[in-house]
Amino acid sequence: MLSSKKRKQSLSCDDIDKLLFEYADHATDEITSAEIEKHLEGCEKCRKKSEECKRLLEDISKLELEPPSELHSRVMESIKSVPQDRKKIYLGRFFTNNRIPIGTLTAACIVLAVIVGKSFSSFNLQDITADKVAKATISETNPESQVMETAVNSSEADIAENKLVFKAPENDALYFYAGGETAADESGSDVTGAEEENYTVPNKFALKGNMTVTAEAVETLSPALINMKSITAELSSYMNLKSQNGAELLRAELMSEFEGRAAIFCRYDDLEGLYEGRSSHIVRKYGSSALIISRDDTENFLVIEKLLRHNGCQFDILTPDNGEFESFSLILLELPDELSVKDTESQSEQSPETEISAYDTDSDD
Amino acid sequence: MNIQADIGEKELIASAAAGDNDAFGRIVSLYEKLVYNTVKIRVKQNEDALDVSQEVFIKIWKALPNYRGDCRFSTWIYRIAVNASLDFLRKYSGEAPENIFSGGDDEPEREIADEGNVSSPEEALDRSETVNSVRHAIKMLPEDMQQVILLRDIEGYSYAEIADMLEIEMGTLKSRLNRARESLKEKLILLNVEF
Repeated sequence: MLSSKKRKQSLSCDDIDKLLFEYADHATDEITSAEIEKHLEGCEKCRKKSEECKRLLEDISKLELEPPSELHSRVMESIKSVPQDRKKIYLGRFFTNNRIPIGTLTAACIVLAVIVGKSFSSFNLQDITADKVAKATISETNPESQVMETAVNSSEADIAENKLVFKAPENDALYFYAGGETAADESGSDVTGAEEENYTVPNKFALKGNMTVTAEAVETLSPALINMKSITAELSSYMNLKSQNGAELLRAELMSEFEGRAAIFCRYDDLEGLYEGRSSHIVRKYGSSALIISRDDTENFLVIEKLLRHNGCQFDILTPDNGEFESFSLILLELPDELSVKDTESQSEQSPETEISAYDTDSDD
Repeated sequence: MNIQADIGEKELIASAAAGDNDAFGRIVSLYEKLVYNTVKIRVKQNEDALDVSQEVFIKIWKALPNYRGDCRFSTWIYRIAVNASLDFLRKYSGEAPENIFSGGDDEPEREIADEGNVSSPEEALDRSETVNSVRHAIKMLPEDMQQVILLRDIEGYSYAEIADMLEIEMGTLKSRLNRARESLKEKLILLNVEF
């Protein structure tokens, strides 16, 4: 831009020369443009230069540097497994030391069965806050004897008032429920296997000690099908929100601290059959599932992925940012009170056979 | 191209921020050229540029819910692209960047769009050769000059947008752009290119 002092004088060829590109780019102001045009009318040399500038800009504009065609598809494929960053929620460590006998765990180590129901349609993501999150840690402390120990911090559990329920209803699968009500002593509960119908440990007790699952139970835990009602609620919200075009919100939250694990979220009917009798009844009842795969189970992770792809299943793969699998983690979320009630009522109404309806949160108090 | 004029962009951003993949796909379509070419100016290989560009969009996807509109969306994206490129270069420092305006060793020169009004095949060929010469001349320019030419003369972003992206004053931008164009012209004269 020329100074106002220069503006008062007529523009010289040198002045014009400095403005020709800007003029050709239609970036000079009205007054300057008029002065340039006036000058060009009477100056062939500058007019020629002006034409050159215009042609050069035209030539540059023809440089269509298109990105590789695969960029778009690669991006769209990759974001399927990437959560968006949102407010963080607490993730409780689940298995801090993943030494569960992988071979017996079949492909996935944990299936989080998910309840999907109309009752969750009013679930508000804003209700998910850190103070509503309970923490549970289940770790294998003695791999040789295949003992899995459950330890839950009591102070954190008091917040959530969840319960852990161990249940082995059929097909040698164990379920972990939050919201159970059968007894456990304060020193912890020994769970001895699948002979028992239910293992239910109220939080307030389980949280004061360690709950130990013996070797026999560990065998039964393969392929441990673990369902926590609170997680169920979380994932249910996700699944419900998905239909309302808001699914990624919750998944993003789920994944925001998805450290050291990878997961595959599947539609329930995609998962059904993958584990045959072991999980099909779960997915049938609860709607959708997530497989969470441990660090040591990457091979199986790939197998599952291939299998799902081969079968044309719809699924999302969620991997930690650092790409390293370290351990399992689960999220325990307390349902908002009104939702818990609705959920319970809904479950009872919709599916009297559903195990979780027997662990009505109302009855815990 | 006038992305800013896209009145639906805010809605598009909001939808994508809420997890709408389709909306994000449209954002990718709108900005893949900016991202890829901005990255390509800085990183060496085409495949690297592709990887980094993909990473840029993943970052954008992840961070979208946190985009508050404090700066133009194009500016925000541009900065992510530049930062990702710089991160890449830091990781692989010492490697001389290949240039965006060269086709790269592993791919043929890109086609030049024939948008000009030419009256004969010969003339069309001449223009095409000229445009290719322009491409070669641009790659001889310093990076900052390439960038302004890319943003303004190729991508068509407004001066205000570019000033925002580059975090420079409008006067500085105009000056840099003018120098870049003049330098380009000089290079073309050196290459005996008529334009």
